[in-house]
Amino acid sequence: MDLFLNYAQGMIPELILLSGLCITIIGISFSAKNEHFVSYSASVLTFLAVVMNLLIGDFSPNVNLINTFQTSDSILSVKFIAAILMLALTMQSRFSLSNYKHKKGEFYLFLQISLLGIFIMSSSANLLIFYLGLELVALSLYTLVGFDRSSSKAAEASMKFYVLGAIASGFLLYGISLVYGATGSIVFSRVFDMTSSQEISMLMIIGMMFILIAIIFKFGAFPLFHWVPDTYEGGMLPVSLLLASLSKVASFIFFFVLLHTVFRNLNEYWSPIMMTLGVLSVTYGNVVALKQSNLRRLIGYSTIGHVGFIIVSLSLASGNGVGEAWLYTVVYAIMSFALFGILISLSSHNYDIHNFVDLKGLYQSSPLHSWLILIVIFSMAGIPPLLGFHAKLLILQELIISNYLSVAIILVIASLIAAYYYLKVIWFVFFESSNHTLKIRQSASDFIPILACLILVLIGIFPAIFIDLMLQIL
Amino acid sequence: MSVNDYFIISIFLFAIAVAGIFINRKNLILILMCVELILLSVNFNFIAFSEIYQDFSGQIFVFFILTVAAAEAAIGLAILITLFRHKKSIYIDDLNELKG
Repeated sequence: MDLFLNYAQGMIPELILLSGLCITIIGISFSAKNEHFVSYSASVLTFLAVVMNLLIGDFSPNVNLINTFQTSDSILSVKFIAAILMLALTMQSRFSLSNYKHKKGEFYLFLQISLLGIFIMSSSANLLIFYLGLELVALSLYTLVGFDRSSSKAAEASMKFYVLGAIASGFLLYGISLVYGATGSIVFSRVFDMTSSQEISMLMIIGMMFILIAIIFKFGAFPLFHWVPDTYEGGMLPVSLLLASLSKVASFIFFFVLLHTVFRNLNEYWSPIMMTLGVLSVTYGNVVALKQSNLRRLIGYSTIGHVGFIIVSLSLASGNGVGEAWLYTVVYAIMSFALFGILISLSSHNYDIHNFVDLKGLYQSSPLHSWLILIVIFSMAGIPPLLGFHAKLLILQELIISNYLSVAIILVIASLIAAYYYLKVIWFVFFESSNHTLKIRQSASDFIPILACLILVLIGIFPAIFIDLMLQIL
Repeated sequence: MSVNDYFIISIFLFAIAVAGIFINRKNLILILMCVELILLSVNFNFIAFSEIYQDFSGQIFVFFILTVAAAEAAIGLAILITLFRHKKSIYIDDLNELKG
């Protein structure tokens, strides 16, 4: 019994999340049909409890539960940041959900499930547990994309996402089965030992290639990106925010756990492939974004470009770029919180922002939102002294130190191309006037975007502490 | 049959499923069936390797794959029903609203 309690101590955040989930389900089944207050408050309380527990909870790190579940200081920090992002996402999505007329309570339930999946993924010590965590995230994302049942675009986007995602997870499983065939074990540490002690079998390498396909899909990188713009256009705004922030954190964990810990000895095989695909997705995403007239698709293609930066930095074989990639992931999450947060506060019942034209004359109707958009877009384009600039700069520095000068040059050129369409957004907001004025709700929904923009500016001016903190995590 | 034959069956099943997804350009239900077929070929692999190594973890993995496949199929059919309500069709050619 003592042993069990010892082990359970390491799983406290997951247990809190699981019990919160059960309470939310009960709350939903007892509340009125279109009422989401109960579910919302239960979720916020659960996430708060998880955050507080990770902040002040006293648990011995480095629990290892019979090769299935492990924790360490860095895993706990990753979970902490994921929980904070999810809390902010829940609070912001409340303002958007009031615009849709379908049953709303379940939305928060799926947010909790996907956070549970991210937690399980990040502390798994075994390919089976890892796969289960990944599927928890993926299944809740398929459902969330199609959550707005009155929209045929949402149904189509979630169908495409589901089919591609199911194929990707099939490839992942086939890869795992081949790795199991090559090593005879599904435990991370044993697979790692097998790759270091004896010569590497062909079966192992083929299995790893299958897993690479799944990683590329989850990131939405170059050859397998087609779901990204579709889900951004079809899904609701908070779902796009989830895909841009938390889902990228999950993909980061996917890449880091499998390639940097389990298959670290095979880096001569995966590193060049991932580096090439990362560079291709930066160039492709930014070039295709040039001809978009739909704002949401444009954000989707620009996400492909940002993801390329993360992948390039992660695929340095030495593993030196991992900290920089983590910093970039968090900074990109903050930027998308600001951008989608602004779009959520601009949207209302009968007005949903889809195209550039919808942003015309925003400066006349609401100077505050226009300046916020200016800050986010400049940060995404990488203009100093905002935070996005520092994130890009660190990755470029790391590439040049590791003798990848040509890659760094391509990334800089692609960022210059990106600056063109980012400035186009600014042009529409500030210099185009329109006849109709937007009705802006000045409400609490502006709180999180303003906070995110303040972070982008203030930490951009004094970046040292934040960057050190993030680089220490991994 | 030796254990290697099961491995060959698994490769064939996987190839049939992937070919089914990429050649079939008509019906969504067929795609869902092909996805299930991929998962079944994975199960074949796991059981065969579990027999070779005399190790239980492969068989446990199979049970979990079956459960997850059931959950995945349930979600897929639910999405398919919503899609059918809007488009009155389950043909891939009719998924043409999102482009660019």
